[in-house]
Amino acid sequence: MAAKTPNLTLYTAQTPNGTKISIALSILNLPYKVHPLNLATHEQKLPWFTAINPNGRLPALTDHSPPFPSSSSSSSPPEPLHIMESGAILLYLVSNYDTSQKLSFSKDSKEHWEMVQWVFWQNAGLGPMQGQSNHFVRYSPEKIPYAVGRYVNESRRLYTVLEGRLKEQEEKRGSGWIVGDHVSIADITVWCWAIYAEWGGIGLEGFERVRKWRERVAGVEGVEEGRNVPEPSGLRDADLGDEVLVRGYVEGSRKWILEGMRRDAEA
Amino acid sequence: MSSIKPITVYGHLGATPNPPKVLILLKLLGLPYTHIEKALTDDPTVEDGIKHTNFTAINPNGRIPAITDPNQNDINVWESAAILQYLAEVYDKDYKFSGKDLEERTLINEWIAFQISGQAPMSGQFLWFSVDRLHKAKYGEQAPEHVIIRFKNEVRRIYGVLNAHLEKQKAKGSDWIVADRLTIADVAWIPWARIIPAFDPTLLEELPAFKAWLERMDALPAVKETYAELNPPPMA
Repeated sequence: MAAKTPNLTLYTAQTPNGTKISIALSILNLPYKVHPLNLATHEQKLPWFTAINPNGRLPALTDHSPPFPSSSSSSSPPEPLHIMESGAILLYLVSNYDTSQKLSFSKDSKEHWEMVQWVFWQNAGLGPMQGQSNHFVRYSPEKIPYAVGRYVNESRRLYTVLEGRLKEQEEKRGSGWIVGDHVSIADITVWCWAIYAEWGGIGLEGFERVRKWRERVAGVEGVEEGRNVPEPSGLRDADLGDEVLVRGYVEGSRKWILEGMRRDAEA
Repeated sequence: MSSIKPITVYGHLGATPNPPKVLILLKLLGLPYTHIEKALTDDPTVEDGIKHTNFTAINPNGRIPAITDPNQNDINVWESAAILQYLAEVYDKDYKFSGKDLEERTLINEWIAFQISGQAPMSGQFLWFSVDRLHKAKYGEQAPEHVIIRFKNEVRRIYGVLNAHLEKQKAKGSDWIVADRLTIADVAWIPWARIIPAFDPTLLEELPAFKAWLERMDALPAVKETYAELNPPPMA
């Protein structure tokens, strides 16, 4: 499988979902082109991009030489495959390019299904809930305590589930990873949100295993390179007690976020 | 398939959108199953509740659905999307409802991931803030209009994306979300799609391809049977 040099383009921005893919690509040591998208100008809603991802969201990945024949003719070169949704992209990358199981597990193992569960747990739970937490803690024009409480509390519940899982892995298997005995796309997908828990108003005091695991994942070769694609995060290591810095970042993002919501409403 | 032992399904026969996905697929595949009704309570002392340690040992997230498969060393699988993938991988050997190759499997994964990260959580938030017996019952007042609108608009945007995609599929001669047949991608989108028109009554008329798809889904025997077995949804 995947004997020839991969020909991949990643459409991304410095966001938790975008960096999941650049980190996986770095760890798998796969060459790829980066196409940064400017969220501030709503580039992800332009027709050329919605032809790649009809949902108009980041990230998306194009495999220009996927491992299957063109549907029109088996002799012509394969048509590019466009993939949306970070969970689907990660599952594709490990199915097709992770033959040595650096970030995944044998398909007929119990660990494979555990990995799929935790990836989907992040896609369906932690991502959407912490995403709303970000919105109501940082960007909403009006402070609404019960909306903040709802999403901060649900995110905390999810971190409690993660803390319990890491405890189980440590005690039963002597492992520091979410699944099995090595880092996998389950760790990558959760980590890209977990490093911004505090930004979403979720303090991780008392989540000792989650905090240690965050450091462990940060030390995996390829993570540092991948997390800085397409550029280093403006929030990286930010002192969230620095009101001037936080306000500057929020004001810079709030404008295009609220404008994006307005455009969606009128679409 | 007579040698297959019944798969245990932990679910809830009420108005909760995730368990029906699993029941629909089990019926489509003709698999035997035993349904175990779980009480939807956060109280960890309730024996049959979803937060009791007897259930969090199966699903640490304390949510339904989950399954235990006695045919595969009693493996526990949770997260509805993972269960759909698992059942397809293990039991749908001729790819009737799942991807026959990596390309089809990837397209199915895209639409399932979009369902679980978009349609489901955003629909859930829209209902929470707009249905009186949820948010208002807890706080004694309506949420500000702009909060309700935030989620309503996002739900509408998501169905708009699905509608446009179904139109493209139609142009290729397909009635389904992926490929040329009913797959687990369609199954995943069914339960919320059936609920949402009651809360946004003009949505279906505005999105004809989505409306036609939903009518096709509703007409499937496996869908009819599943919903006939559920208690009438109290929210409708």
